[in-house]
This record gives sequence, C-alpha cells and structure tokens, in this order.
Amino acid sequence: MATDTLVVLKNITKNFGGIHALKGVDFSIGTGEVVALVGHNGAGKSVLVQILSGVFSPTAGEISINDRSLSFSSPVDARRQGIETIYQTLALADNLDTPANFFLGRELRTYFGFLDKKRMAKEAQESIARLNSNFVNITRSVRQMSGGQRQAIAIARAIYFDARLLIMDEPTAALGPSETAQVHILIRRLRSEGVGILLVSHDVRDVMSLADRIVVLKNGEVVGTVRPAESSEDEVIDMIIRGRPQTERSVSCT
Amino acid sequence: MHIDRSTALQRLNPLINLVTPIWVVLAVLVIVVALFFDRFLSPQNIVSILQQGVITGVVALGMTIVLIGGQFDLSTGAIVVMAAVVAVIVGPSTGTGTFLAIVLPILLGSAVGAMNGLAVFWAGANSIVATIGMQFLLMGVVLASVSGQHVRADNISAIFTGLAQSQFLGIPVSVIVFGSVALVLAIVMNNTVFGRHIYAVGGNIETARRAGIDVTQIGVATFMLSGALAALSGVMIASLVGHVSPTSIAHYEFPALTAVVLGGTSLAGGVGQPTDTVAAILVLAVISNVLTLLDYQYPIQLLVQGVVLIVAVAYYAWQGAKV
Repeated sequence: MATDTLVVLKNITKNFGGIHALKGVDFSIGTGEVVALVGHNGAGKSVLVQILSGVFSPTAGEISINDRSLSFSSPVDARRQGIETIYQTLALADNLDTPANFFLGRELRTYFGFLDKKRMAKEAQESIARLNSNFVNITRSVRQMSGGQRQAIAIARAIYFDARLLIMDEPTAALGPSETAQVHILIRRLRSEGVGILLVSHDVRDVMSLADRIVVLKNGEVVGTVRPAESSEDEVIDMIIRGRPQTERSVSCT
Repeated sequence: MHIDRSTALQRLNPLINLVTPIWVVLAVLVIVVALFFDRFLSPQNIVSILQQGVITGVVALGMTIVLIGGQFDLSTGAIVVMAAVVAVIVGPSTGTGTFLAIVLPILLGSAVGAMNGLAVFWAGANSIVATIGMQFLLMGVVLASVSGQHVRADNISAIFTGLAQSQFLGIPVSVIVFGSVALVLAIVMNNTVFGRHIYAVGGNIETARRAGIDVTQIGVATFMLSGALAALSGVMIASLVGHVSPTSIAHYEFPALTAVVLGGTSLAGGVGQPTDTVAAILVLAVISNVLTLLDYQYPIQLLVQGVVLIVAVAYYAWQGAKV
C-alpha cells in the first residue's frame, strides 16, 4: 500500500577513520511501505539504521522527511521527526519495569515535576494491552519476560509515540514461531495504518513475506533493490553473496 | 467473596518493595541484641549508634548513587580529608568564615566529582582506576599544602561546632543531616526523571543513550553528588573535632563501600536504594556497638565486618542467580 514518499536518503556516506562503512547509499521509504534491508554482517545495515535513528551523523549525504532536509544530532532529534527504532537487544533496560522502559527518555511528570508513575503505568498497560491482550502484568520485571513480550513493549511504545517511520532491527531473531507470527501480524497492521517500516533482517524468507521492497547492501553499498512479488529467495541470497543483481528485474537503488 | 489476588498483591507491592532484606536483618538484629543487653535500647546508646554511622553514612549515600549509575568512586576518602582540612584552614570563627568553611569544601568536593565524572563518562576511563588516581592526586596535594602536619582552627564558632555536636529535640544535628540527605536522595532516585535516568544509565548505558538520555551529563552529576557528600562528611569531621590530622582520617571509602554493598546496591549498576544504604549503615553500627559492649577490640570488629560483607555479597549473588 505504498503511497507518498516518507523518507529519502541521498548519497549517505559514513567513515570511521579509514573505514568506509557506507559509500553513497541512496534509498527511500514510502508511507505504509515495508522496506527490508538485507546483507551480510558488516554490510552497513546497522550503521545505516543508527544514522536514521540519530545515533550517528553521516559523514556526507542528505536525509529528508516529507521533502524537508533534516540532520539529526541525537536519537531525540530523530524521534521528534517520528522515527522510532526497535533494537534487537538494546530496546529495554532489564533493571527497569515496563512503564519505566515504555517512557524512558520521555517520562510523564506531575504538575510538581515528579514522575507521574500512575499515569505512565496506566498508559503503558493500555497501549500494550491493545497490542497483546495476553500481556497482563506490567509490574513484572522486564528481565523475566519472553522475547515476544519485550518486543510487544517496544512496538507498543513506538505506536504510542506516533511513529511515522518504524525501524525494526532483527525484530524476530530472538522469538519462537508463534511470537514471530504475532510480530508479522503487527507489521502488517502498522503498514495498513500508513506507518513506513524499515525492516532489518538476516531472514530472507521472513522479508520475502513481509516487505514491499528489499534493498540489498554489501560492503557499504546498495547492490540492488528487488520487489518480492517479482523475485525469489534464491535471487536475493545470490545478490547478498555475490554483491550484484542477478536478473534484469532488479531495480537499482530506488 | 472473590478476591482478585493479583490486584491485592499489586496494592501491597510498594510496601513489599520497602521491606528489603537489609531492613529485616536490621530489625532481627535490634530485637536479638535488645533481648541480651539492657543497655542497648537506652537513649544514650541509640544516639551513640546513630552518631557512629553518620560520617561514613553520608559518604556511603553518595557512593550509592554513583554505583547505581554503574560506576565506582574510590576518591571519596581523599575528598573527606581535603574537605576537613579546607574547613579548618578557612577558619570558621566569624560568620563569613563559618559559611565559607561549610560551602567551600562542598563546592571543591563537587568540582573533584565533576573531574571524576568527565574522566569516566567523557574520556571513557575506567572508574576504579580514575578515582584511585584522583585519590592519590588529592592526598598528595593536601599533604603537600599542610606539609603533612596536623591543622587546627582557633576560636571555632558555635554554629560550626553545632553542625556535628549540637542536638535538636534530643537528636544530634549530624544525624538529622544524614537522615535529611537520605530522604532527599530517596525521593530524587524514586520520583524524579533524574533519578530514573541514573537507574537507566547504570542498568544499560547503551539503551539509555539510544533512549535519548545524555549519559555524560547524568554520569558527571552522580560523581558531583558523591564528591559533595564526601565533602560534607569532611566538614562534619572538622566540626566534630575542630582539628584534622590528614593521615589519620583517610580511607573512608572502604567502610562506605561495605555499607553500600551490604545494602544491596549492585556492583554492576542499575540496582540499589539510598534507604537500604541507611539500613546497612545502622546494621554495621549496631554490630560495632555490640562488639564494644562485649569488650571486643578493633581487630575483632574488622574481622566481623569482613565476614558480614562476604556473606552479604554471597547472598546477593545467590539472589541474582535466581532471577
């Protein structure tokens, strides 16, 4: 259901000293579009995610959202623009409870400036329950929760804060089959609600079933973009390994 | 009648959270000791127990905050010495002198804390090594500036001596200061955004950073707090005795660290409560008091303190392994 262009990255380059992590990457994500980013370890996926989420600034290049050129100096800047990121392992702090994690960095305060714990607990409970009705006890330590429950907190948080672009870094890597299916349902639901989704994954089968477009990265460069409906798993895997499009159907750097 | 057990438990939860193991240990200890020693619950003895823990207690409270933030501050012993020496040298004889003798050491303590914090959170130094380095540096500066001599102030004002020696409603002012610091820190840690961010930084610094928290700012603030509180302890020592021998009041950091760990603050960061540090300080003070009542000398007291610390660390490790 891709419609308008939401985010455009032009010629994004990132160097760490002498290491060229990204070399002139171009791509875009539309509203209500799921774009998957695939590639081997070291291809540049994480660096690109961290640039989009404000953790790193690009050495060169331009990011624009809804045709406005922007630069992020911190994750707060990215979130102000509606970019929410769900990290595979770094989404939650184990020592904090669910409401504290849900509102981390954006805490609700009372009139006197203290933490409004009651309101945060209520809002977190309601938001997560809307997503996962089995999630009953938000007072439980996050450490004791399953991977699916942790993902539910992170996804509910992104929805609560009106994400326009949701970046999901290996969202199902730590999940079992039923929890993975739940996350897939959520991704489809968010897409139908107009949220743009950047899905970073090693699982080609997963992205073939979810993505509207698949962007393949190798050695910091986009080697091609394919549409799952017009492609095959083998073709994508071949691009990841060989670093170049196999067929005429591949669309370069959309 | 149907009772929703989970709701009832949730209502009780804040109360259950308040009753941590160290408070249970303190309660049991007080009951058992009171059964065996009539003198234990006498007002003078209770005041003496409270007073005994105050100096170490204030240092330990600051250290608790740094440890919750995921770091160590071993420079506090030297900050105590520096603050005590500065307070005495400033000469708290006049009104202005008294004000400066209290405020200047505390400002210097926070400045040292800021340097520690920047070394750790901005430059990326290991906090144990950086703060031990700061300890050597400070002790060197203090000893050199007083030529290793005893420093003494003349005509100390009543306000300054009152800080540690006077009483209000029968309670020593130093105990009131300790209790107030603990109360304020408990509120800050549990009810403010700043406190919440300290727990987040100590629990998982990368998650905190990605949540948009300025981890350097938070980390430096924890060290500044620790430095200011260590300096407050030094001022109280100066107020208590009126003269300072720099070498004899060193090494407050290890008894303080003992209390912090005994109170359940995690050495890995992210877990701990100032109120539990208070309970731990009281446990150590009661044990020390009992040993004194039994006429055991200092070496035995050290030995018992060591055993208590090892048992506490083993208990918390076992608790952590259960989660």
